[in-house]
Amino acid sequence: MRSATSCSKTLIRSDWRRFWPLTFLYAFISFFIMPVGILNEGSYSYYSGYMTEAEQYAQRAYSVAAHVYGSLPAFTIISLFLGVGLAMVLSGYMMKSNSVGLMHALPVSRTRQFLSHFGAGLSMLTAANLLTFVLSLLVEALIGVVDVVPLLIWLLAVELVGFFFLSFGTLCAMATGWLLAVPVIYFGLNFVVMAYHLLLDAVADLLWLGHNSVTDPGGAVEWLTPVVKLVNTLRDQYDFVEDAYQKGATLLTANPKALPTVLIYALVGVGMLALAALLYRVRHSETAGDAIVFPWLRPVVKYVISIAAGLALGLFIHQAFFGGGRNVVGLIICQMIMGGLTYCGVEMLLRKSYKIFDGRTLLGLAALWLALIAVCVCIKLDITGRERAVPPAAQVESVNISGGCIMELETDDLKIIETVTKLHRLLAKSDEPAMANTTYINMTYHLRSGNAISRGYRVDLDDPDQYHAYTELLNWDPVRQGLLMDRFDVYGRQFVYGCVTNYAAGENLELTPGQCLALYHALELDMEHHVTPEMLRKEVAEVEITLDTEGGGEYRIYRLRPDCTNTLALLEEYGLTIPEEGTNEK
Amino acid sequence: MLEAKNVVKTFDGFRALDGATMTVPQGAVYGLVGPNGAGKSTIIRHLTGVYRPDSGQLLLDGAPVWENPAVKRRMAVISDDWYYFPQASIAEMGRFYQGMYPTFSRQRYEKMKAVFPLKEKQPIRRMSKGMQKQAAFWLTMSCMPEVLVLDEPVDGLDPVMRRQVWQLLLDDVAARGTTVLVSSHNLRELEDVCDHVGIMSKGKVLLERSLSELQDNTVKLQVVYPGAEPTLPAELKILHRSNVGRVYTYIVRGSSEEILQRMQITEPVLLEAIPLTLEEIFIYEMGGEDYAVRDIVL
Repeated sequence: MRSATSCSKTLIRSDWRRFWPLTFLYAFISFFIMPVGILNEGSYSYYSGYMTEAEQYAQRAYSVAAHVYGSLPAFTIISLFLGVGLAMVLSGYMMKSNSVGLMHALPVSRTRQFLSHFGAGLSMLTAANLLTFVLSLLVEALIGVVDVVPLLIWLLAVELVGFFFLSFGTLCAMATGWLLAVPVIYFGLNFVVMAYHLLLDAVADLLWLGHNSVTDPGGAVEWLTPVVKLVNTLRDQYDFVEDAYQKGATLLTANPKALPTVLIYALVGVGMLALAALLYRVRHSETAGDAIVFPWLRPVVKYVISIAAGLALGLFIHQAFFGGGRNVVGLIICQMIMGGLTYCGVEMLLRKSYKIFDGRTLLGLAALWLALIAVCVCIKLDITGRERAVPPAAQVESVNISGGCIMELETDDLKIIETVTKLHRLLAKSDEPAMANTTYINMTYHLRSGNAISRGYRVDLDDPDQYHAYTELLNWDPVRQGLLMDRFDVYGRQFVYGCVTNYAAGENLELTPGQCLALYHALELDMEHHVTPEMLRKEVAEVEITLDTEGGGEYRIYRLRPDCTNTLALLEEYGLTIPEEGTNEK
Repeated sequence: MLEAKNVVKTFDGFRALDGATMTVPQGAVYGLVGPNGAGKSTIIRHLTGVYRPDSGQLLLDGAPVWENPAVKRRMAVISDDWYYFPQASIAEMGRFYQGMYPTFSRQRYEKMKAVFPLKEKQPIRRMSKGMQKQAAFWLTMSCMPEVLVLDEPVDGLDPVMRRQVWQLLLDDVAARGTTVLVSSHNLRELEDVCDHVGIMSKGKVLLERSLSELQDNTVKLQVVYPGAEPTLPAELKILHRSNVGRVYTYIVRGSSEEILQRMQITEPVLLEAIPLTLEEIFIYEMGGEDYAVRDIVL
């Protein structure tokens, strides 16, 4: 007696016979990434002239392990496509009335059919992964660098990621009776949270002062966008082992954070599989050909698509008609039009008819418009308080600042973070300043929760509080050193050109590389004491000092304070007299 | 015995089956007839466990068909749009059916090679519609089912192959007691093979009887009167009346003996009872259901 939940060998065999090309294609791609890639990485003889044999071996082992771990993000992307591909071919029979008629008339329960088809898909995936694993191991043996641990971790990771995406694809296939709707739903669900985040961010960008979009938001948004989370996690799959040469060990080890993340998604995959099995049992065979087979799901699909389209296309149309202006009413009208058109299109698709203009549709449209108005109004009124919210410094893991005269700087220094949040609070509670005498600053906080907040403001340098907070920020060592091009490593590069322009006197002096270096050192000494915003702002330039290094590094100073004694003395030595007003401090 | 009891099925608000009840006795060849859209294919898909009813029961020998592999193992179906895997040949589909049906007979499969002039290794998709139908019969009959459900089974077959297929079916019924449920619009053909008939309309089975009972229950009378048509006995249930000159034709419900006796009081010059064909029974029964041939001037 066959168990109701065991697989049907006949169905699995049949699936294999019909769909093996997909497995073959996957194995073929995997073959080039893994065994061939390992052969390329491991057979190269590094620094053979001056490395010992043991060091060369360690170097090759490092390259092979790095290649194996480094291939995981690529396999995540491949699994994303393979998952939906397998789900489409394995559940394709549910999309046509005659094929579903044959399969459901067979003496096999629906649960067994479901498990058989899924089992066939999983076995195809596993077979290709195992084949790749074995071939990779053989190649490692061939080149004499056998390291099983990275390969086992690779096998585990790709198998679990593949299982997750196959379960995801299978779940999506249960919702529709159209084969081509499967990838639409699948990719839609994979990216819906990220898409909504970006769209709401874009609306906030338009309506909020200082708001910047965050393309890598982290936190829940990243977790709910599996492919992004998996690629980001697996990208940092390995850690370097410092004293591996001495230990004779591989120079890489698996990052302990990566596999638990994959495991969590695999567990979610189990949940999705259970839900898919349940939906398969309750799904009606006669729904083959319907875009969405469950009536309760249709409004969800309609509104998710229409609101997203309303927000996205509305923003696009608003941009076309109103430019970048903050016209809330215009934005709402654009979103209502585009959302409404999308709603009607989806309604036609679901009803399979152009005749949709009845009371039900009008009611649905009214609900959609209300939702779009509510979204815009809520963002405009900032009901969550996010527009002017400043994260407490203690919750910030690191901050990235840039803009104006500040070159991009990422720091986890608490004192700098506190200065940034202090400045941010001042900027957030003020209104947008006039363009005169302002400088721009971007700040992106990476919070300990995994989320990110990004803001960009114009700092009003006529506002004493903002001026002092900004000056305080400029004078923190890492910021100031950034201003002085430390990150360009001036000692490693030669100054190639220098120029000093005294606008008041109409003088211009070109510098030799040696004069450039001397002037740079003088400035470094002077600015160690105090940097002011004016020194770095071309808009208020009185004297412009330009120092260029080879390779494009550029350093510019526009004003000198009276206490920049070293610089002023050197300029005088070079024959330039900086007038009194040119050395004025604000 | 294959049964449907009060089966109701609604598709997007349309009641495709409206309390359909029918019984296919064991060993019977049951013809299911009805106008287009009556629900024949829908009830067949319920009886084979493809569709789940909103309410009602589908039973084979008292056991429910829905999600019951033990019951489905005893049944095989050829639907009006029979499905095969797109790349498959008859041999490959044969292996698939063999894996699915424990009763599949390789011996019978081999024997039927002689019946159907088809290339076993040729992809089915390359065959004509009629050849595909033959392949369906070949494979389905090799499953040796106790119950065979056929939806428009001989559509696309040439007359010789039709006769061949019916012969095979009837031989199977005679030899193994196979129960056959067949839905078709070809009433003349059904009349030759069916011993039971069910008529469906608007999602209901209007009547089901053995063919002989059905034919005994409706009579076609041809009558000639010496003068004008007299008043007919009120107790006669006349389904249809027409005349050509003095020759009157009546379709009357009841046994022919009783009707002939009652008609004697009208003193006809000629009175003759002619047995009705299945097609005539269908047309006159459906006429009562407001589904009749209408005289429309174009």
